[in-house]
Amino acid sequence: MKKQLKLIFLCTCLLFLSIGAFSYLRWQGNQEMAMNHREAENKWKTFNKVSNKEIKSYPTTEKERKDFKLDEDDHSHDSHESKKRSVASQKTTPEKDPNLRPWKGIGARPLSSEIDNEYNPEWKEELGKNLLRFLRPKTLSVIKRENSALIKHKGKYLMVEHVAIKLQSPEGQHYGYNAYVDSASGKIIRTWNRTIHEKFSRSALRLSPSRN
Amino acid sequence: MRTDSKLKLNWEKAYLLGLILPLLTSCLPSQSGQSKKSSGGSVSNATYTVNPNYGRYFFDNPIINSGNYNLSTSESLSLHLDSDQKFITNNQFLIGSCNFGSQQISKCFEVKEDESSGYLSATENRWAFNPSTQTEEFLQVQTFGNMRDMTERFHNSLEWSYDISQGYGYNSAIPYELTLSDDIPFWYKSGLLKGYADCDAENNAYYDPSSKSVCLGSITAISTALYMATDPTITYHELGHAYTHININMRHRAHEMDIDVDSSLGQVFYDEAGSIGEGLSDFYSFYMTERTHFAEWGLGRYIGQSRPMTEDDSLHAPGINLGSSGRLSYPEFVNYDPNEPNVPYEDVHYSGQIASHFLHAFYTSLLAKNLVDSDYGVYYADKDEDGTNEAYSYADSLYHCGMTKENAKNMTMHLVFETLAELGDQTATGFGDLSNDPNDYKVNLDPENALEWINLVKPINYRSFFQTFSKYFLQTLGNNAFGMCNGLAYDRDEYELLLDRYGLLLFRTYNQDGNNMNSGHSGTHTSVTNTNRVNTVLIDKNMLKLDERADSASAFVIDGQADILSAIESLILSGQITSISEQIDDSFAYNNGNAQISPGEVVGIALNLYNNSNSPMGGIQVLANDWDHFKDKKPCNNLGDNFPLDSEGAANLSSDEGVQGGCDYVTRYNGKDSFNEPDEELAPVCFVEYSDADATKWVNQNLYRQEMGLSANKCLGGSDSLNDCLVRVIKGGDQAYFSKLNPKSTWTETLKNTTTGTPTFTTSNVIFMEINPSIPPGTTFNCRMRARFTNCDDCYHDEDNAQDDYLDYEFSGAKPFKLINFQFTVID
Repeated sequence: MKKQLKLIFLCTCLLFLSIGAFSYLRWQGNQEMAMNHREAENKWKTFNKVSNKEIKSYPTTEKERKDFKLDEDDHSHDSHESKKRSVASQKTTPEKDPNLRPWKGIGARPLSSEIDNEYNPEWKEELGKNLLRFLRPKTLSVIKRENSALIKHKGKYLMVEHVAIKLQSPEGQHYGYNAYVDSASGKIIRTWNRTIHEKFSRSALRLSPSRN
Repeated sequence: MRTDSKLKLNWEKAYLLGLILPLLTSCLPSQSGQSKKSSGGSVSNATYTVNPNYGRYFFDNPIINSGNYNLSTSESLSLHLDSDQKFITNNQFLIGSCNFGSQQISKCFEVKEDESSGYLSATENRWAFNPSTQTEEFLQVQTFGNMRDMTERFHNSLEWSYDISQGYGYNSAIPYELTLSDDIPFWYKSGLLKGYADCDAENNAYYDPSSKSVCLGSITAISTALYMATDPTITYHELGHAYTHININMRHRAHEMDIDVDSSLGQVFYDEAGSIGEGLSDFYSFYMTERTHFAEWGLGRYIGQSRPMTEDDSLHAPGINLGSSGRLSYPEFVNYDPNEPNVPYEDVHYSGQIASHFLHAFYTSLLAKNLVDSDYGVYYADKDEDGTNEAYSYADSLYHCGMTKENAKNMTMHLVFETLAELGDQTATGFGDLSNDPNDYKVNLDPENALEWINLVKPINYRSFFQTFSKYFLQTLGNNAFGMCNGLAYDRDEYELLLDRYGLLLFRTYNQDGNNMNSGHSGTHTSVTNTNRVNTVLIDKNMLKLDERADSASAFVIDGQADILSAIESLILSGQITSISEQIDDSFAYNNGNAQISPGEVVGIALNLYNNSNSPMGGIQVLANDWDHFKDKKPCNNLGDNFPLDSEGAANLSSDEGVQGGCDYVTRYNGKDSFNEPDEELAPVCFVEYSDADATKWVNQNLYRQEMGLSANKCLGGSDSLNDCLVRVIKGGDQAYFSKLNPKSTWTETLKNTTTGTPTFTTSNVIFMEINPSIPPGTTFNCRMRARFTNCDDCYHDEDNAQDDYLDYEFSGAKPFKLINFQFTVID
């Protein structure tokens, strides 16, 4: 009898331990997935307009890094938020919780209930599509997130992604700028830090009015 | 003991040593570290010819070093390299540090071949590489040397400037917190400026603020490529853009404003802010070399695009000289290319020459007379109009403040630093203490709207830059109490006359009291002496209008599919526009090129503006952004254009004067403060003609949408944007610039840019609009845009307040602008 009780007790302990271990591993896996997702979003991603109907997206290749002249040690983002160590046990991430996003507006930080959009994990894909929509095939763009933020735009409080965008025209001309992207729709809200080209040849685009 | 023979042997040895030693020591490299031109014969620049941590690079370009203006790229640059070795770095890689005050940034700048390369290492701790056989290595050392020299000088000047601003007790824009702020306002917050010595940019060099890097390309069309990095004046020019970027963001960085979006100088392909930026960068080249010509080697030798910075340069066209009426003046010379003077061309680099020439002239006026005598000699002019040019001493005809060259350069840069720090300030305080108090907002309206003011509503132009420059001149050099000119103040009349020679006396007061809504007229605003305004002409804004002559178009419509595809692509690639409505077809299939505005199109509108005055107009800007011209959803008709009539749906004016919600009230917060101004909002420029059973009225687009039964989600901006549901100006394509309008002329007549009878435009001359596919053909729109120009009198000066500048909030309204109503009917 005693032996049986001991056996039952042992099995029960083992069962609880297994459940605990399984739960912990699953939680950790989710954390890692979230972290990997976040790390992936913080790396360069290429959007290649293969044709008018097709845009391919994938992590930027080594060759493309060279072609786009992406600095291996690019720490161009000035904010320190991305360098802060995240809380080990946090249950959510800045993507999903606007309270964790730095407020980049003037005046008091809005309440979560006042935020007008929601985080879309596919925002980068939407951005790539929006960016290349009117551009010719063989236009390449690479996008990297620098940070997430909260801003006020046209009277609305929005979650946005602060990104670096580089583009290469089919002729090989390079462009770059920083942008705020709507975290829900992937649409660019504003741009800044656009490249200043010297362009030693008189090659400005000329537009001709239509004749009637 | 064989002393005789020993002695004899010793003497022989001594004799030989006496012969050999001097020869050996002459082979040892000198360590002067000073730039010194090669005195004939090549410098091998091999490793063994330098000390550890040393190398060689050009301080100035090879044409200057060689004296050969026909220098060829096939010739070895070793022949002309500075012979003295220079200290490069004792780091393992080309990474440099910088100091400002007591602060040091250990990783301040670095150089690589390009963005994806690794770091170059020294060879045996030495940085000497042959320019011909070790080109990539040499270019990197070259670029590093120039970056190090210039960054050090920039910080020295900035420290000098800081000491002036803190020591003399005037309202400076240079913030006290410059050395204290954690955001490193005297450099980049991230700490690192990158130089790429051979970045594969063809016929190009550029500054990329998003990655904080300078990229030096090459001209590859010639048999031996010409690398931009071998012309230090080009490196200095590009670094000038970087320092300008730091300068214009200085105040809000010092205030540690948690913002990501930087201020910048220039928004579209051509504008005056960009022009001033280019002129400043050219002047930065002079700042380093003390030579008044830029890029003889990199741009001049093979593509004929080098640029002078003084009127007595031999490249200039006849008639341009250092006399009082021969200067490169505004706006006369905004389209002048000295390499091709008979072909006007609209480009920021050409119009920037006015800024560089003035800055050099101003610098010269700061010098002691003997310095001007020795460096500038004489100029030739026909002052007595006898048909013969005589020699005149430059020094005799100039004002002399009496400074050394170093002080004159620092003082000139000090005024530039002050000017950019104020005009780019997103704290909106502008000068004096940094604060969050609305009573201290003296520039750029307020922090929430500062960027919109800087980029669009009140951008930096020749007037604002030189007015602000002049204000700080008045507070320092022009201040009797400071005695900066040999114990005296710089004579204000002399300064105004100098500015006027360049057509830059564009302001009526120095506006020391700023533009705050409450205090902008109650402080000091010293008046300019009107009799000093001889060359500068201020023109009434009503002289600007649409071309109403017979057989003239009021506007040009660009609606060809190919043109629009190219334009939109260019604007998206450069980041100038951010999005197009989902109602618009991806391939612009509705664009039919019929010179009409049709449903579903994206169109470009180039207004055919006409200068009805007898003097040239410069810096014409057309704004098509939302502004304060509607009240209670109805268009006001008391804004100067008398449109529309009361019977055509105009807003009721019966409210009390100066009260919110009335047509004579202008929003103080750009329509964004619903708490303080619940009745104020901005309206899009375009509204619609609507006919009901009773009358024809002009209504806002949302009302028309409702009448036509169009659902909100079919609006161009979706259901969130109903007031521009049908015709929407594309954000980023909402301003147009024209560099100059000659008297009694349009822009196309001024630039003569048509060989076929049809003018051509760049994207910066055009307003871009989306036209909703659901608009019924026959619908008529009126787009009430605002226009102004730089040498406009009543665009800036308030005659009701002693010609002081308009207050910032007034730029949300009509007063500082000429209203241009552009009407069109949508045709299928």
